[in-house]
Amino acid sequence: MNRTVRLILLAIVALIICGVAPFIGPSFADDETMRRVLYTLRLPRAGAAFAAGATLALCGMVFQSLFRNDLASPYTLGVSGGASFGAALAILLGLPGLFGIPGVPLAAFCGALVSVVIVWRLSLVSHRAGSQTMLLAGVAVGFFFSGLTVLVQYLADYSHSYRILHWLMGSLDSAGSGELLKLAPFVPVACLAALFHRELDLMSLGEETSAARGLDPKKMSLILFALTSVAVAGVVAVTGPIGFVGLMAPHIARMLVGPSHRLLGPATFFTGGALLVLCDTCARILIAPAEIPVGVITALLGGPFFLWLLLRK
Amino acid sequence: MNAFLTAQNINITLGGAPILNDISLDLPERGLLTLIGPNGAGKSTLLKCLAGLLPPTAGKVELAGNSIGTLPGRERAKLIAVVPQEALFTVPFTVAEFLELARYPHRGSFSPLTTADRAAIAQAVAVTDIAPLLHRTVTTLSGGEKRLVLIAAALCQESPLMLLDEPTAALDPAHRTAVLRLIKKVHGELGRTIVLVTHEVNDTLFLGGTVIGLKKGRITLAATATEKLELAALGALFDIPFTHWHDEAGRRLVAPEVTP
Repeated sequence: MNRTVRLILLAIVALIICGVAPFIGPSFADDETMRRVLYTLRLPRAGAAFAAGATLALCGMVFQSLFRNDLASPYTLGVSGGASFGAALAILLGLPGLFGIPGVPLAAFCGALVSVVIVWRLSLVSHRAGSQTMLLAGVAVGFFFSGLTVLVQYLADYSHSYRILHWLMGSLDSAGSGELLKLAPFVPVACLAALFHRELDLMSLGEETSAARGLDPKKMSLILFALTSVAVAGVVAVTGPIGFVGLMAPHIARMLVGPSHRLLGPATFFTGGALLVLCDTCARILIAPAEIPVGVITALLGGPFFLWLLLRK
Repeated sequence: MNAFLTAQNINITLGGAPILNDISLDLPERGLLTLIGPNGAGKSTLLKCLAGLLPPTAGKVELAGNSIGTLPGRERAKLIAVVPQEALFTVPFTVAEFLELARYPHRGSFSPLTTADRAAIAQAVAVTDIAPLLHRTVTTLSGGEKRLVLIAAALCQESPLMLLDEPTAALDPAHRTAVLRLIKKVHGELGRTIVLVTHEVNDTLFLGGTVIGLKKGRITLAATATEKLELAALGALFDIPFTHWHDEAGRRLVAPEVTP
């Protein structure tokens, strides 16, 4: 089947999933209640899930191209570690918000950006190839912040500790139209990064080839890192670190439409969005009326998915 | 002297170690230059420097009156195409997609494939004779096919200067001959200016043009027409005595003297 046709079909399936998901779950006999649950709770939540999933997936795709590494994810530069530490600290100390943004997401956003800047500065002083250092530095900085997060959690009392744990699992359970609005500005940032589709193609061929074709790989990767880091930091600040979507969705999209980023970008956008809507729907209904954090669902899917990816050939 | 490509007093130091020492050379338009010399002489480094991919520590490279260090990337890539010895063929692009990407200097980020782009790609495919490979993915190509695709991609850039790094290394005799004939064609018929690096002195003799010998970062064999390349000079360059003979067609061949 033609790759463009596959992309169109993928987009249709993704939109159907988003349209149907809010109607899944317990229904209410009272029409008015049902309408309210649908329009003020489930639809905005599905929208938030789609926005978060699509953004994480696009950023994962950009990172996989820049690092030429299938295991690169939006969190490769230690974003989730930094964000978690920021959030944990804000919960423990009860940090106040600023400019109408509550303290926890604000601290998480700042923590995420701090970790990216540390990783980036480290890559500048090293003599190794830039991207290789960033990969290793990202892992190291991530572990360091995880350690700090555990320390904060240990020092916190029972209720704070529970809130931190809950945040760390990544969840959309409180997502409503407010969350959707908070996520909205970060979707175009990730899309902007994915618009450089030809540059992403060239970067995936290696720095030498892209330089020979007239691209400045250092400048380009700096632009792409800046855009994706802001987008990921924004999503993590709102939803907590939801793992694996950013890792899996680009691979699924690649299997459907191939490696060329002109089609891969939109395919990743729809795959990531639909995937997180699906996972969030499962999180909502599996043990209804209670909920499972969506990060747990994506992690439970992600592990087997990668084994399958590994063993499929 | 209407030199097309000139390098003036190039010095390159990498990580504190001097790699190239006071290299100067020039080449007329449509010229063909081979850089020979032992391993580690700095040939590939010089090629990268001429390509504008590695700025010299001192000295400058000019191409058609432009200082290549100051050219924006895409303008430079319109003037200079590089055929690397190896490329990272890890992403399963099709050969056709790979060639379209080589039009990046002309297309930039967003312009679609124009008729000029299609014509350049079609010519590159015809010259390198790789039409049957167009729908293969680059990850499945053999070493010889990869080399042809890399040369085709360089041709797609439509740049007057083409630089090749050991284009015949690790190829079987048939592919080696094919690549050498192709370089001759690109030089003779398409009128490209060529600089290539090789260890194979016989490749140099086959291609003709001028040869420069590099040893330990210096030019120890000044620009010589290939037919005047002397055994003594080769011996001094490679630290091993050379012998030569003529084949039935009258072509001169050289080889190191092997004593059992």
